[in-house]
Amino acid sequence: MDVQGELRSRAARARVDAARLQRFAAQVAAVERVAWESPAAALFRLRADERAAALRSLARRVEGLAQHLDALAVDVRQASERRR
Amino acid sequence: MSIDVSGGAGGIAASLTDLDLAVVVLRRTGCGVGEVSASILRVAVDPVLLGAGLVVAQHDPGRALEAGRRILELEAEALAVGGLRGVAGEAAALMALAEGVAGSVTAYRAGEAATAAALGRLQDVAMSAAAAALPVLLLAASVDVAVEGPDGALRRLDQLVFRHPWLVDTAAGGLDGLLGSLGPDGPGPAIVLGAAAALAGLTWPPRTEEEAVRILSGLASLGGGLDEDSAWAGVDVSPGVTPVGRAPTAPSGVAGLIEDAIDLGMGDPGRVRVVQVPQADGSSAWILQLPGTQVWEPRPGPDPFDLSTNLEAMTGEATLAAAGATVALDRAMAAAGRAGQDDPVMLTGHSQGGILAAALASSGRFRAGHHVTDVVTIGSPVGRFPIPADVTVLSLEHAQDPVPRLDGIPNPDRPTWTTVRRDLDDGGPAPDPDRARGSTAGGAQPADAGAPAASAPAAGALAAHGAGRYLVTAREVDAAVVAGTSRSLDAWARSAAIFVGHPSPAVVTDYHLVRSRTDPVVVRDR
Repeated sequence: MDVQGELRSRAARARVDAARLQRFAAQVAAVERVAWESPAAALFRLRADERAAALRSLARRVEGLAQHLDALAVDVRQASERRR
Repeated sequence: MSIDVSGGAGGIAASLTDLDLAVVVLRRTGCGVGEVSASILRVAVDPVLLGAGLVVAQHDPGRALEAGRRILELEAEALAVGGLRGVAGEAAALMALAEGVAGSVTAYRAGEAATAAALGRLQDVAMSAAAAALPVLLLAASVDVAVEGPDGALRRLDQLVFRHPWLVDTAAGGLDGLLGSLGPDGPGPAIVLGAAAALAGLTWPPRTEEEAVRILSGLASLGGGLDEDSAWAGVDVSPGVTPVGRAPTAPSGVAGLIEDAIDLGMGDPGRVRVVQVPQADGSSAWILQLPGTQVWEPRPGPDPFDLSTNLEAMTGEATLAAAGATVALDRAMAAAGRAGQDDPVMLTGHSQGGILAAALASSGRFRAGHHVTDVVTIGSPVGRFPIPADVTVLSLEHAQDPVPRLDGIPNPDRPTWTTVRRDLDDGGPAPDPDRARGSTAGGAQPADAGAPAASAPAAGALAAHGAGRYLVTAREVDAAVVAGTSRSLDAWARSAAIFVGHPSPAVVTDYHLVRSRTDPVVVRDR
C-alpha cells in the first residue's frame, strides 16, 4: 500500500476509535440508571455523567484526527499528481 | 399513615446489585478506553507520517513546509488526545470510579452484616437479662393481674406492644439468649429444657432462633400439646365447592386477595381457596389462598389451621394443613385439565396463611410439582423462610402488629422481595381494644371483615393484626401501583399481573380440610 493508502487506513482506524468512544460514552451514561437513591447516588450519577461527557468530547477530537489524516492524504495525492 | 415500601426492585439490595453491574461496566469500559488510547498514541509515532512529509517535499517542495506543519500538529494532537490528559486519563478515571463504587458497595455490605450481628447479640443480651429478672417479672405480672384482673392486664399488654412493638422483635430475636440463660448453668428449668432439646434432636444450649423455637415446640410436646403427629395421621380434603357470594373473577389487586382471606375466615373453618385465572394463551394462573389461625387450643383438633400448625410451620416441619392445601390445588388443576402443565402459582394468606404460603414456597418438594412464581403474605412472620430468589414476594406488615415480628428479623431486602409497612400509630392514645378491636391475633374473624374495623381508629396490637385493617393497607398498595409511585411495587405488579387485577372471569373453588386419624394418609415430607 502506498503512503496515501496508509494514511487513509489510519484515518479509518481513527474513526473506528471515535465510534468506540461514543459507544463507551453511552455505556457509562447508562450506569446512571441505578435504583440507588441517596446523596451519594447523586454524586455517583454526576461523576458518571462527567465521564460520559468527557468520552463524547474525546470521540469528537479523535474524529478530528481522522479528518487531519485524510487531509494529509489529500496533500500527498496532490503532490504526486503535480509530479506527473 | 402512608405506606413505607422497602426491598424489591427499588430496594437497597437491588441498588447494590445495580451498582455491582455498574462496576463491571465501568471496569470493562475503562479497559476498552485504554485500548483506544494505545491505538491513538500509535498515530503520534507512526512512520507513515514521516513518509508523507518526504513524499510532499520530494514532489512538491513548495508545499513541504505546510505539510510539515500539518504533520507536527497531527502528532501533537494525537499525543494530547491519546495521552494522560485525554483518552488514557479517561481510562484511569473510569477505573478509579469503578473501584470507588466497588469499595463502597463492599463496605456497605460489611456494615449491614456487622449491624445485623450486633443487633442479634443485643437481643440475646436483653433476653438473658430478662431471664435473670424472671422471678421479678413474674411477680410484677402477678400483681398486675391481681390489681387489674386478667382482662385488664391483657389490655395493658396489648397497648404496651402497640406503643413499643420493638419489644416483640427483642423477645423473638433473643429467644436463644433467653433459653441459654435458663440452661444448665441457670435456674430451675434446666432439666426440662434439656429434655425438650433432646426431644427436638438438638443439643443444649440453642445456637440459633430456629433451634430455640424447635426446643420450645419440643417443650410443648412434653406436655402433650402442639404436636399434630401425636394424634393425627392424615388429612381429608373434601370435593371442591363454589363459594356462595364470591364473584367468579380474579382478585382486583392486593385488596382482592385480602377480601378472599377475610371470606375464608368468616365461613366454615378449615377451608382453602383455589382461584384459576385463565390466560389469553390458553394456560391458567393459579392462586392458592390459605386461611389464618382458626383454633387456639394447644391440643391439635380436626381443624388443621391451629396453633400447632403455626409452630410446626415456623420450625420448618411439614404440616397437614400444607399437605391438604397441596392436594386441593392439585385437584383443582386436574379438574381443569391443567395437571402437570407448569402453570404459574401464587401462594397467599393472612397470618398463618402467609406462614404456610412461605413454607410451601420454601419446600423443594412442593416446588418440584408446582411452578411457584409469587407469594403474598399479610401480617405473617416469614423473614426466616428460605424462599428462592426467583419467587416474587410481597409482604404487608403493620408496624404495631406483633405477629410479623415473631421471627425476630426483618424480611430480606432483595430485588424480588418487597415489604410494605404501615404505621398505625397516629401518636394519640391507644383506644380501648375492647371497643375498637379489629380482630383476634388469629386469622380473619368476623370482626376483621367489615369496614367498621377497617376504618376504626388505631387500636391495640391485636387489632393491628386484623385482616380488616390490612384491607385498608392493601388499598393503599393498589393505589400506589396505579399511581406508579414505587419502583418496587411497580415491579411486583408486573410480576403479579397474570394473577390479580384482571376483570376477566375466574374459577373459584373452596376445599374443606379435616385432620384424620387414618386414611387417607398424606405423605408428610417437606
